[in-house]
Amino acid sequence: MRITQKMVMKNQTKLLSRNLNNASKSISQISSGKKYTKISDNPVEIAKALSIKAKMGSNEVYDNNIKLAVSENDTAELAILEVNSTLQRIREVLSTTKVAENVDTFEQAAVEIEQLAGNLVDHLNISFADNYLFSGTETDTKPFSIVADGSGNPTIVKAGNDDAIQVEIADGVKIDKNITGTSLFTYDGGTTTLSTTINNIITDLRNDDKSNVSTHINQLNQHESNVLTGLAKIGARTERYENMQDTHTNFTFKLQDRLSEIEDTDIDKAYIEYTSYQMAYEASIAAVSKLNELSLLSILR
Amino acid sequence: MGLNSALYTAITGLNAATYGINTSSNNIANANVKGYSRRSISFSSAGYIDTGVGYIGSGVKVDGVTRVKDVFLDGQIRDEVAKLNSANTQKASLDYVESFLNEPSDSALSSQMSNMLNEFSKLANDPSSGTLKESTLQKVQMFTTSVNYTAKGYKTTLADNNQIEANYVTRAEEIITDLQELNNSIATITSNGSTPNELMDRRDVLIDELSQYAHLEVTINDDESFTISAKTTGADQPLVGGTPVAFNTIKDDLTEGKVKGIQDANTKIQGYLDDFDSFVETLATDMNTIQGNNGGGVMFTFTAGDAAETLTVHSDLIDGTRPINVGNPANPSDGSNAFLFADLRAGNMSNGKNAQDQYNELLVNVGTDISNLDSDITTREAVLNQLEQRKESISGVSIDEETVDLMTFQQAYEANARVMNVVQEMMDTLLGIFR
Repeated sequence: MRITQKMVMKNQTKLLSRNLNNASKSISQISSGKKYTKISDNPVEIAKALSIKAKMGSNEVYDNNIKLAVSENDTAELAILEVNSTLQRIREVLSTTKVAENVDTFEQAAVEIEQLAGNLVDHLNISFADNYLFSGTETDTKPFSIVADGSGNPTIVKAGNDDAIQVEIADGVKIDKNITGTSLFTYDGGTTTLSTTINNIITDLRNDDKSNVSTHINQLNQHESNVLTGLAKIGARTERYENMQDTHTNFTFKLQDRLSEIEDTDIDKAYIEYTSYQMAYEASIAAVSKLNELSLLSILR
Repeated sequence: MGLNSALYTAITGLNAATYGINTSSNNIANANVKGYSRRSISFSSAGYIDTGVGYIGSGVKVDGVTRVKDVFLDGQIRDEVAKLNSANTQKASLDYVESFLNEPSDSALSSQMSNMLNEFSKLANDPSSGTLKESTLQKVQMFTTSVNYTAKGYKTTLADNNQIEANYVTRAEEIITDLQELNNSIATITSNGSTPNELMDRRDVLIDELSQYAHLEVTINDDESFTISAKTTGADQPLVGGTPVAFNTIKDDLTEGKVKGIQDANTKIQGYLDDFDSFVETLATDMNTIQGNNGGGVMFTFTAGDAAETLTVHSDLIDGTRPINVGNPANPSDGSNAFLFADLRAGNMSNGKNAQDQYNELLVNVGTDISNLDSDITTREAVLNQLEQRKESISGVSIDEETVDLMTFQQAYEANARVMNVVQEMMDTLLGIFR
């Protein structure tokens, strides 16, 4: 084939720019740390990366949700423990009246239990971040309050609802995070409430009637075990949250791994590539600089 | 036959050598001119004189200076140029689309959308939080802005491309007018018996340029007049020679070239925009339906069929007349409705898809189109490069060759001058006899 100087120059220029282009691609991969900067660099892989990023984003949200739910759970747990110990205290006070003969003692017990009933309501009205924990979805309504009955003895009135509040802990997995007020307030399906039990105790004490003390103590025991069931429920949930959190953490690591595999530059590889492109580029520069000598004119001179 | 005839023979030699030197020097001077084909000078023996003892030549004559060219190769190159230009033009336009989509990046629509839906998930889990409500509304607005921006990007590109197409058509028509004039000039000169090499080079350059705009069929007749027609989806349409049609009237039927490329790009971009519009419309309608549960009103307003550009967050939500519908307003911790928004991430759109994947599909379409064009261009460039190398190999000026030619003609000149010298000496000898 006939070769002209222009052909050689044109070819060399093309090769030069290709080598420089290659070198600049790998240097930008190294300095940006990313393999791809445009969708067309690898559309399918980039779509995967975007899905993974979205997945990691939602995982982060679930993780936050769980953290929030765990804190609420812890608060509810403390409150229920307090409710339980208050019930125990009421039972103890009531027990002392079994053996007491003095009417004053009855009155003192009644006053103390009245006080304790107040404590009970305070604990049941626990709130977390300005939301009452035991009032269903009406978290701005104080769930329990003490109202005097006709004879001035306290009754506890329940407000709010028993709707479940859900927490999303994974894709499509939503679990109830709240303990309903009713489940703490009543046992045996709602016929016996803390309100009636305490109202009966105080009314009987004020009437100097100690015939029902054993029944009352029995009822208090039932309430205690009912409240402890709530505690067990909370414990189980906490465990489930923590399990899920572990899963998310592992999953996020795996996603991160996969994302890095797709997106991130393999620095070692890129550097070796860069070095070889650089060498090729330098060699071609050297070759081009010799081209001028490649002419009959330079010999005839 | 006298000494004088030897003198005349030498003069034809001197002349031929001078023409040769001129041709070479012209080749060297034009070595880097675009479209220049090297000239080759050819000589032949001038007539013979019957001297009675035999025929003796009377020197050399210049037959002509011709362009060294492979016309068939020119045709192949033009075909490839047309194809490469349709691909290149298309790619340049799609590259722009890719640049305003700006994926993958944390500020692009894909992240804005997943941020928004994740914010709904947060809100669902903490529905009574005023800050979260506010930030969710902000994320919705950011998403809306991104959607508007993307739609505007598509539309601006479409409008720009229409302008570019018009420019291409104007340029092609200018070239065609020039070529028609050239055709006349060349015909005039050739009818006088000369070869207008310069005009022919100019013609080839212009045809090459025109081949960027359409797939051409060029016929060059023996008298160097030529016809050019463009390949269309129907019959070939004459542009120069014959009864030419205006380029403007066939611009929508071309098969290759820049005009076709920009039209193809617009077809694709319109496709992306339509897909994007229908995606946005589905998502916005779904979100409106969710917002509307239990009389929550609408979240977005938009014009059907142009959803992406016209998508706006309803003013009631922005000025706080209505809140984002997270659930039963009587129960502040009821996040059931906000969950419905968040579930759009998980395949709960009304078309059964999940929002992220569906948007990613659109992105993959754009990316795949571009990377297909990329490899198409690489192949075509390689083919074109091969052809151009062959063309250069045939028509290009080699300085080495020209240097050798220069030396040859210089020697020829010196030799002929020497002959004159000899003749002169012989004359002197002859004249000396009579002294």
